[in-house]
Amino acid sequence: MAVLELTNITKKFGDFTAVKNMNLTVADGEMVALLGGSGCGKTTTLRMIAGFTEPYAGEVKIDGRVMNKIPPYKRNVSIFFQNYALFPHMTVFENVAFGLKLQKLPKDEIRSRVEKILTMVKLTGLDKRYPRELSGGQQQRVALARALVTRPSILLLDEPLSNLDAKLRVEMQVEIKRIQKETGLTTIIVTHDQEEAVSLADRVIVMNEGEILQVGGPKEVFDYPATPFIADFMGFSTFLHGTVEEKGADGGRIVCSGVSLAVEPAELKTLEKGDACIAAIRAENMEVAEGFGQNVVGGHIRSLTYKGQRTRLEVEGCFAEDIYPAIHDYEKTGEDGQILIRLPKEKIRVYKA
Amino acid sequence: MNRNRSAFLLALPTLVALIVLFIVPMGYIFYETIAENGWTDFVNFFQDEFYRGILITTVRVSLITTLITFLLGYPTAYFMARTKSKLKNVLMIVILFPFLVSAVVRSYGWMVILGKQGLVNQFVQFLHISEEPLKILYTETAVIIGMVHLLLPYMILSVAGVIQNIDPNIEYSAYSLGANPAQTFWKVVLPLSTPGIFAGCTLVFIMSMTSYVTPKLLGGSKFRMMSTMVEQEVNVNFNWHRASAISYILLFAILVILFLLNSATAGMTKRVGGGKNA
Ligand SMILES: Nc1ncnc2c1ncn2[C@@H]1O[C@H](COP(=O)(O)OP(=O)(O)OP(=O)(O)O)[C@@H](O)[C@H]1O
Ligand SMILES: [Mg+2]
Repeated sequence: MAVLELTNITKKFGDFTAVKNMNLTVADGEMVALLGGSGCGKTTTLRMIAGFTEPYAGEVKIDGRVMNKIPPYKRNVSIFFQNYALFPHMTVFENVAFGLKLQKLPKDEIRSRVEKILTMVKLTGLDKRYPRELSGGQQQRVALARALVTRPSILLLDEPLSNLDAKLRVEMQVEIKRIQKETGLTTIIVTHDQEEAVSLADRVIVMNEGEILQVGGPKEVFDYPATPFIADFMGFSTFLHGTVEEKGADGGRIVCSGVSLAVEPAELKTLEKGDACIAAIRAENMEVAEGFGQNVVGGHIRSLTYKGQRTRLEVEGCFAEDIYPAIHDYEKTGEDGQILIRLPKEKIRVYKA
Repeated sequence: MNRNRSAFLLALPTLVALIVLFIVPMGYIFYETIAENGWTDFVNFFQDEFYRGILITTVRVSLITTLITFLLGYPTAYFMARTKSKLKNVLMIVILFPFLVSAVVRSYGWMVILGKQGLVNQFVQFLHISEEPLKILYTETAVIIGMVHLLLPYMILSVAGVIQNIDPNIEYSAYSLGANPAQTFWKVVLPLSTPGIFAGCTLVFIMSMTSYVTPKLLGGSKFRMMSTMVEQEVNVNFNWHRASAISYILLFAILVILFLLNSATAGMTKRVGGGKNA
C-alpha cells in the first residue's frame, strides 16, 4: 500500500552501467511487470528498491519519502529472490514465520497466518520440512509465502514462477493476482515470459540494457510494441523489409519484396510515401488461405514443427525473408508443400526502418 | 553402494598409512605401559596434585586460546568473506604470514616484545602506567598471546570458508523481512556459520592442547603444559612410562572435550550442513 517512484536512477558496476537513468512511478496497489532479456538490469533495479544497494545517482521514493539512505529493514519492502534464498537452518514454518516473529505478533496469530498462506501456496503438511527436503518448485512457493505473509507495503518478485510446471504456474499466477488485488499490494514482478507479464500486470515495462524501452498496458505492449526490437521480444516472429507505397485516410499499402500489402492507415502515421519500413506480424496471427485475396501470399513450406495446438511453419518464397506462421490445427494443404498464407491487415505493425 | 566403495578405495592408501604408522605404534606403546606397570602411572597422575594441575592448566590455556581466537577471528573472517575491497588480498597475506615463520622464530619475536626490556614494557613505562616493568614473558598470559597469534589463521580460514558459502541473498532476505543487522547476525549468519566455527574451534583447541614450542619458549621453566611435561619426563626424568601415560591422558582429554563440543553444536551443524536426508 504505497506509491513507488524512481527518478533518474542509475547503477554502475565499475565502468559498466547496469541501469541508466530510469524513471518509473508505480501507483498504490498497482502491479507492474518488468520484462526484458537476461542481464538487462531487472534484478539490479529491484535491489535498489529493496535497499540492498544504493543508486549511483537518482532517487528511490516510497510514498514521497526519499529512501536512498534508509536501510532495507526499515523499508517494509518484501523481496522474492530469483534463487529463493530460504533460510536453510529453518523449517518451512520457521521460514515463513520469520518476518512475523520480528513484528512481535502473538503466537496464535503467527500460526494462523502462516497456515493460511501455506494452504494458499499448496504446501500444507510440509511445514516441518527443511528447505533441502523440498523440490525446487516447493522451495519457490515457500519463498513466495515468506514474502507475502508479512503484508509489506511493496512486494518485489524476481521471477517467482519460473520453476513451476504449466498447470501450477497458472494456478499461482491466479493466486498472486488475487492476493495482490485483495490486499492492494504495490507489486513489481520480474519475468522473462511475455505471456505471464501481460496476464498478471496492470502495466508492462520493457527493458533492455538498463533502459526502459516501452511502458504500457498489457494489451498495448502485446499488440503494439513500440519498436521492432520490442516486437521481437514480445513474440513477433516475422519481420519484412519494405517501402511505403501509398498513404491515404482510409487505407495504406506497403511493398515488401515486390508484394503489395494492405495495412491500417494508423500504422503509417509517422511515415511518408517512399520511406523504408519494417513490417512485423505475430506467428499466431497469420492464417492459411483457401485462395488468393487481400494480403495472401504463396510460398513453400521448408520445415514444420508440431507444437501441440499449433504447428509452426517456416515458409520461403513469399518474400525475400522467410515467414514463420503458427497455424491452428494445421492439416497438409496444396501440392509439394505449396501453401497460401494470409497476413491479416489489422495484425500488421509497420515501423520506420 | 558402488560409489561408496570407490570412494573408500580413494581413501585406502591414507588409511593404511595411518594404521601402520600411527595407530599400531600407539597401541604398542599403550600395551607396553600397561603390561609393565598396569594402571599405576595413570592412577598416580590423577592422585598427584602437581600433575592434575598441569592437565587443568593445559585445558584452561587451550580453552582461553580457542575463545580469544574465535572472538578475534570471527569478525575478521566475516569481513574477509564478504568484502569486495582490494584490502582483502592484503589482509589474506597478513593472516597467512605467521605460517611463513617457524614457531621458534615467532616465539623469539614475542620474547623481544614481551620481555622485561621489551617493547610493551618500554611503552608502559613511557606512559607511566606502571613504574615496575610488567611481568608478561614467562607467564600463562605470554603463552596465550603466542598461541592466539599462531592459531588465529586456522580459525579465520575455517570460518571464512563457511561464511563465503552462505548466499548473501539469505542475509538480504532477513533484512527485507525486517531484521536489523544484529538480528540477522544472531538468527541467520551465526547459526549458518556453526560448521565453520566448529571446525575452527576443533583445530585451534587440538593444536593448543598439544602445542610444545610456544609454552616451552614463552612459558619459561616453571610453566608446564602436558606436552612440555612429556618432554621433561622423557629427557629429564627418564620416566618413559609416565611420559606415555601423560600422552594418553592428553589424548583422552582432547577426545572428551571434543565430544562435548560436538554434542553441543551437533543439532545446528546437522541442520545447516547435513546431507540430503539428514
Ligand atoms: N555485483 C555486480 N558486479 C558487476 N556487475 C554486475 C553485478 N550485478 C549485476 N551485474 C551486471 O549488471 C547487469 C544486470 O544484471 P541483473 O542481475 O540486474 O540482470 P537481470 O535483468 O536480472 O538478468 P536475469 O534475467 O538473467 O536475472 C548484468 O550485465 C550483470 O552482469
Ligand atoms: Mg535477475
